[in-house]
Amino acid sequence: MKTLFDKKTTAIVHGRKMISIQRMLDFDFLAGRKPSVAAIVDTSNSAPLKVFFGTKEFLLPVVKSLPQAKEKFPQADVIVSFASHRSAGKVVNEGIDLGYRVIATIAEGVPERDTRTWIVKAQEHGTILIGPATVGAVTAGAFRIGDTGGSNDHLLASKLHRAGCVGYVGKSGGMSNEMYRMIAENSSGILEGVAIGGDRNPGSHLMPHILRYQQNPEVKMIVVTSEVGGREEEGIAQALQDGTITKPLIAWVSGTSAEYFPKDVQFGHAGAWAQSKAETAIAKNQMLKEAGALVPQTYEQLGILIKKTYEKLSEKGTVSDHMEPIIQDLPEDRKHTHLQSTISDDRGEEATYGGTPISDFIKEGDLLKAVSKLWWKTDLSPETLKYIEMILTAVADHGPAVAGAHNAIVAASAAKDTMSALCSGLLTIGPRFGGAVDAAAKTFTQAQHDGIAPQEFVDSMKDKGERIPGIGHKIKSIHNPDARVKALLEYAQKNFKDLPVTNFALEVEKITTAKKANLILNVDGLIGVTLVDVLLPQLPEDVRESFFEVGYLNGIFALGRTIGILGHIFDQKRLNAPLYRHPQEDILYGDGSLE
Amino acid sequence: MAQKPIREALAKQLIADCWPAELQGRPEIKFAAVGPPTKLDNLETNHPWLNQGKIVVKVDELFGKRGKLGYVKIADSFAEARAWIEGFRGKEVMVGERTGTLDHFLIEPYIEHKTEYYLAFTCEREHDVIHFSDKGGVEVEDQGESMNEIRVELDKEPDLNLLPNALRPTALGLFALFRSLDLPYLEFNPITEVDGKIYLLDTVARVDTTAAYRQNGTWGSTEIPQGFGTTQTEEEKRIQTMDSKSGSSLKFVLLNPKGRIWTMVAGGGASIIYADAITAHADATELANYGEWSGNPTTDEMEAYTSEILSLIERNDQEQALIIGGGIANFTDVKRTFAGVIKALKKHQGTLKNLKIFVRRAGPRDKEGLKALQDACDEMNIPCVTHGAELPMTDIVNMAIDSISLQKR
Repeated sequence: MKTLFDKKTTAIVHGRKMISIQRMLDFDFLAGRKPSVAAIVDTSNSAPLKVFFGTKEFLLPVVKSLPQAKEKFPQADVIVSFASHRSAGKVVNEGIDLGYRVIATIAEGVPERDTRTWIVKAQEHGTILIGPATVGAVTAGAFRIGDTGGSNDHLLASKLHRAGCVGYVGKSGGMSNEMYRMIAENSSGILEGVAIGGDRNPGSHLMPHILRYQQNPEVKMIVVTSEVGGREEEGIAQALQDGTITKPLIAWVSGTSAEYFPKDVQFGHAGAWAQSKAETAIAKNQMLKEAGALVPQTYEQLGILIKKTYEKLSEKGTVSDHMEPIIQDLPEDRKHTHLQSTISDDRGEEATYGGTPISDFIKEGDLLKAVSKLWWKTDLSPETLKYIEMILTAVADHGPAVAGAHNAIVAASAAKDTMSALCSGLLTIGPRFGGAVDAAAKTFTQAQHDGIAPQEFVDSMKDKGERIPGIGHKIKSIHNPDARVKALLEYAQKNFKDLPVTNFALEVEKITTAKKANLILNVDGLIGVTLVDVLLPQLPEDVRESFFEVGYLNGIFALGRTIGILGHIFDQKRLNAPLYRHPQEDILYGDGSLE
Repeated sequence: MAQKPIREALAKQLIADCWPAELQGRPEIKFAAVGPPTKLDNLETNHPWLNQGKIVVKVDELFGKRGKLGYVKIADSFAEARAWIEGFRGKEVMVGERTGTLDHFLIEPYIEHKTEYYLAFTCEREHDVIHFSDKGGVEVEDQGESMNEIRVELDKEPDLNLLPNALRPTALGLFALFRSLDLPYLEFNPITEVDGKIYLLDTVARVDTTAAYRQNGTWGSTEIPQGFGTTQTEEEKRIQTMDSKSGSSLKFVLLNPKGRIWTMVAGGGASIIYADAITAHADATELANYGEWSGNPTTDEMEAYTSEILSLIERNDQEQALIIGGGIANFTDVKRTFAGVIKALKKHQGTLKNLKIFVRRAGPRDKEGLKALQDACDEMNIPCVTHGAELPMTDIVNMAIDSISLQKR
């Protein structure tokens, strides 16, 4: 039997526990291994977490559920769960079902019936449980669970960054760290340590760990600390007597003071109370001693006993001190960066767009190639680039009367500078102006994705009293089609095979135009649905996931329309247009009542 | 946060209220509970059966062997029962080694019966256990071979073939409640059957307090009493409230307000070891309290917690020592938690006279935390020694005992 973990073990951490995760990574760095945290599960927020490995900052991936973690990071076989006592059960059950090998639960206050159910289920699946109500476990030089071992100075002092020869198991999470130090000061340190937790029914009890240590040839002696309450020690005594345990086993059961208390005292650990005489600390210490365990007179003598036992093994040649490894320097004052950029970099010889020098883009002379790199971090097919260029051309301008151009004209005629006038025009782009592209794309994609029939979709929108975004035109109709739509649609249908959302929208158009001839799929609608069909499949996953939230489609409209708005501004400036004042006769003054 | 016994009245109320509608065998439950606010004058109006035959009245104070101790009475009338209650009510008595007040009583109709059974449900690690014997009414230890144990897997229904037919439906329902109500222990000794009806003549139950959050409709919002003889002081109550509102752990039990060694130890495991060390080296009555804080409490929480303890120390005129102990913390921030201790000390400095402080603590930011505490104590002229991980954990216990010249054991 090996240790619980090795240098290659990786874990999923459930809960965005920044400090604990950083401690795990610092341990990894000091132990000279690669990062042991594969990913974080955060049910509410999948933004990656900024962490350090050594002094280098990097992003830890965050997923929203455990099944997702299993799918994306199948090599991680350990869960470190920081879920609350209420949701801890869900994580354990899911973790067992997904086939995780070790599941550690940190939460305190899990109902006893729940942990007992886990224990049975874990046994059926061969899962190793650690906790609840613990800090976890550590395999020296290999892997630590969460905060086990504490801050970096203490974990180095307790020699947790490299393997020793002692197997330790105890109940208390807090005391485990104290014990690692005590063992390190009196021997070569631990090979592995487990704090099973202070509950009455810990997920794994003392015995399975002791047996693992007995069977692991690298463990030369075993240290066990326990507490008043429970009768697990009877199994240890039995195993000592029948020769199952042959290695020196040092044991101490605390809680002797319970006998002296004038009233019932519930110690800080839920399991630390004696149901019967046999569960008292004094009785258990006595029993272990009689069975052949090395039991000190008091806790104070525990360290000396460890030292003596180690020295005896040393004399026999069973153990020998190894050279201490060189520890990499880990500065205390690391600071997280505030900004992050993933699309371009100006630090090198030549600035790059997505890793490609700008001069390469210049030589090709294709603007849309740069757009696609900077906006979506990818290369798009030549047909797509061409199609986007067609769209930009289609939306570049729509005459002086529309909101954007009009605003820009008013600003320019007020002698504002070009930038201010441009901004005042661009600021009108939103839900009502240009926004139909985005809304149409979202609405049709959702309906198509949900598998709703076009008729059903039209009916449901009518029931809700909502207009279908992207449908309808003031002048154009089925009899007098919009030439822009025609040109774009022809190109799309010719060049792209798969247009599910577009086809859905065209089906909808058939229904709406049957009612009223001008309820056609307008240019905004067409741009929206075709871009979803053409663009989405070509985008990298992280870009695709946030496609609608980020607002790329409004971006395309803004990019195209900037050309037209600038045109209007230059036009007004050339004309030296006087300040615009809206005519009074064109304003309805007052509240509109007849009196 | 662990298992706690509940009064018989609450146990019976839960069985009556929560009996699963689809199950047969609902036991006959009829009782009148008497607590400190109960007006005995009103009792007959609310429970007319009190004057319809013999009744049983017993003390309901979380201790057993009541029959032997003379705390059960069969009365012919309510007047007789009332006189008996009034004779005990509010009285301080000693049971075993504990002294407590008799405040709670339970009155039930007297049931003439022939057979008495023993039935109990307990939890083992990987299964539930049903204990059954047809020699009920006597101590478990005295039942010998008549006691049967039936193991029930956690996700299985029990096999009750060993039980008499008449008892089975009730036992099945009680077992279901034992599971669904998060009662780690439920005992009926005796339980009996008379004319096809089942009576629970004596009921003992414990609740798993960690399940309170999901037992809100049952016992979760009921105040679970302290054990007999453990009346809580105001300080204990306030710290308990603090604990229940905090994500961290703040525990405090006053053992002897005249004790001269006070403790404020971090960590569930370390706190036991410190209590062991103190009771091993000095007279156990000198240990004034048991206390434990852990889980990285905030500065404010630590200030409030420390203040409660200091206010008790102030009321004791003797020379006293406060042990602020703990192991090497995994994640509790020593500087942040000690900042709370310092704030509390500053608040109390004018009134703290004969106090010496002994500190041993390590963990994240320990050097800064220890230095801040040492500096603050020096400034306030409070004798104080601070140690980190370089000193064995319990070495400050002997220092404390010596410093206030306590006799050593």
